[in-house]
Order: sequence, then structure tokens, then C-alpha cells
Amino acid sequence: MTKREKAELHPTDEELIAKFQSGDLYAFDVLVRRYKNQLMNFVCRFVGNREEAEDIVQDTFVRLYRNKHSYRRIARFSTWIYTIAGNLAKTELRKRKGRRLLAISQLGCEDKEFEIEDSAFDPEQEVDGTMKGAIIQREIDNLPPKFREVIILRDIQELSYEEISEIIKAPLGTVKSRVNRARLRLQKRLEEIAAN
Amino acid sequence: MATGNCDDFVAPIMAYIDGELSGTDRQRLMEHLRQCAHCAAQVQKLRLLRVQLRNLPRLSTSPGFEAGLRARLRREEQARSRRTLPLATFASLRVAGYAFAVVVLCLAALGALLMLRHGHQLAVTSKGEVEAARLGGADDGDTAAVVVNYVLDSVPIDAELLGRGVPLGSQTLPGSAVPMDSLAKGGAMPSAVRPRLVSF
Repeated sequence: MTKREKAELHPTDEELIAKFQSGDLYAFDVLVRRYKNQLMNFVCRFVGNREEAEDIVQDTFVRLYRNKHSYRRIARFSTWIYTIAGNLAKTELRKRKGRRLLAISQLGCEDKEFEIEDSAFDPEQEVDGTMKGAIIQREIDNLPPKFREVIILRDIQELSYEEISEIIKAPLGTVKSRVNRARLRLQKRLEEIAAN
Repeated sequence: MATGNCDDFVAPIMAYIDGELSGTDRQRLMEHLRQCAHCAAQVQKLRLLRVQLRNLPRLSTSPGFEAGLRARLRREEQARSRRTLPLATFASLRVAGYAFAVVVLCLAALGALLMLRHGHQLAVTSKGEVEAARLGGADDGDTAAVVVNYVLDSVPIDAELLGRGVPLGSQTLPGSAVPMDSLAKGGAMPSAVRPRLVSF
């Protein structure tokens, strides 16, 4: 397969957004499919609620659809879309703080039954894993938003420090320092929970 | 005894966990970890935390996400087209309104101009009629009016002169000592003041 054929089969995000800016709606669909789960994972871990997260991810794509021309090629598409999603998530957190609501019936990020792919599935191990996941998520939720955002982007989404710096519009040193502090806090809390 | 203060190794430990520590910094940390059980344990805990975080289940959108997004975009497009239609109508109406106002103003200005001109002509014509009667011989009223118009245009407007009953016929034409009465009596008009037919 030639390089050109490969590029046509697997266009980059930047090529796709350029096509979408030229009116190719199929390119938009490809971007949605490419990013919907990544963003869902990030936003749901950030806001800690599945329904809200899905709304935010949808809002993110609506913004992309409406403001496609505000994207400039100087930035990576991935950081641009993460910035939109992150800002919407922060707005939602601020609104929630205003509402001071914590509905018990709301589905947390770990409350969904996950698809089982492994045929040698061990229910006990899965329950244990889900519980651990729920505990970790709860402790992530308890971190201040500025620490929560960076630890999710770095250790869950596995983005580089440079990408995170672009997304949250903060200097590299600030990002590293926040990640370090977030890890230490989280690790300390999980240690306390394990000790009890 | 451990080499250096443990607090100084927090950032190198994080960089080490991220796989971004190399060279002498890495050697210094390794040396410290060999001697400091607390920091060595910290490294293990942080590594475990990273693994746990990385292994958290990947959350995905619900199966109806894309359909919901498309439906929402469609709704927004429809709402936008509904919003833009009256706006477009309003905009076109506004333009039409401006155009109408301009036409009305132009017509008003034209009307005012014509009225001014017509008013002047009327005034002159009434004097012209008088003068035509005095001239006697003029059959064509318009021609007489033009004569008087010409004469009046040549005479500096003087309210006192025009308004206080100074007989027009006794006035003299500018640049001429010939009284107008003499014109009425069939006297020759100086060529310099001979009236011309002017079309309006």
C-alpha cells in the first residue's frame, strides 16, 4: 500500500477537519466515531456522572459542528476538541456547585455494566475490579477539579504533558506540578482506604 | 543513610514513573532509592496507582449516541432556518423601507424644488399678466411672462420698490434710461435688454 493510499484510508484528524470545513459531512461523522469514546471516558471521569457526561460530549460535537471554522491548523485537533470538552465539563461542575445537588439516582461512571469480552470471565474478580474502579473513581471525584482534570488526562487518557499543557492552557511546569500533587493525594487516600 | 533530602526526589520520582528520567538525574535517584526504603516504597505505590488508573474500564457512549447527536443537529438546523427566515424577511423589509423612505424624500425634495420654482414663476406670471396687459400687443401670455420674468430677473429685488406701489412701468430697465412705460407705448427696446424666449 502506498503512502497516499494509506493517507486516504486513514486520514489524520487535521485532514478530516479540513474536509469537514469544506462541507464534507462524512468527515464529521468519522471524527465523531474517532473521539466519542475518548471524550466520554475523559468527561465521565471528570464530572463523575454518566448522563451529564454524555450530554457534554454531545454538546462538544455540536460545538464542533457549529464552529468548525474556528479551528485553525496551528493547533492539534485532539487538543482543540479536548479543550472544548474540558471547558464544558468545568461549566457543568460550576453549575452543579451552584445547584448543590447530589441525586442518588444518578448513574456514576462505574455504575454501568460493562461488556464482557473474555470467555474465561471470573465474576468475583470482575466484582472486585468494579469495586476497585468505583473506589478509585470516587477518590478522583474528591480531588479538586484542577488536579482531577490533569490526572485523568495524564494517567487515564495517557496524553503527553505537552498536550495537557495545550488543552488546559497552562505552562508545562504547572501541569507537571499538578499531576504530581494529584498522584500523591490520590495515592495517600487509597492507602488510607486500604488500611481501613 | 539516604543520600539527600526525600522532598528533593518527589519530582524525579514522578519523572521516573513517567519514563522521562535519564542521565545523571536517574543515577542520583537510583542511588537514593537503594538507600531510602520510604522513597523506594513510594515509587512502588505510585507505579501501582498508575497501573490501576490505566486499567480503569474505558467508558463509552451509549449505543444511541450518534443517532441522538444527528437528531439534535437536525433539530438545531431546522430551528436556525426558522429563525433566519423571519430575520431575512425583516431584513428585506427593512431595505425596502429604506428605499421607500429615500424615494419619498427625493420626491419631497423634487416637489419642494418645483414648488419653489413654480411659486416664483406664478408670482412673476401675475406681474407678467399685468405687464402683458400694459404691453397690450403681446398675444402670447407665456411670452409676456417671459418678458417680465427677464425684466424682473434683471432688476435687483428691492422689497420697497416692488412692494410699495412704485409703478413698474415707470421703472427703468437696468443699463437703460428707457422707462418701461415707453415700451408699453410701442417704444423701441434697447437691443441689450431685448427679451429672449426662454423655455423652462
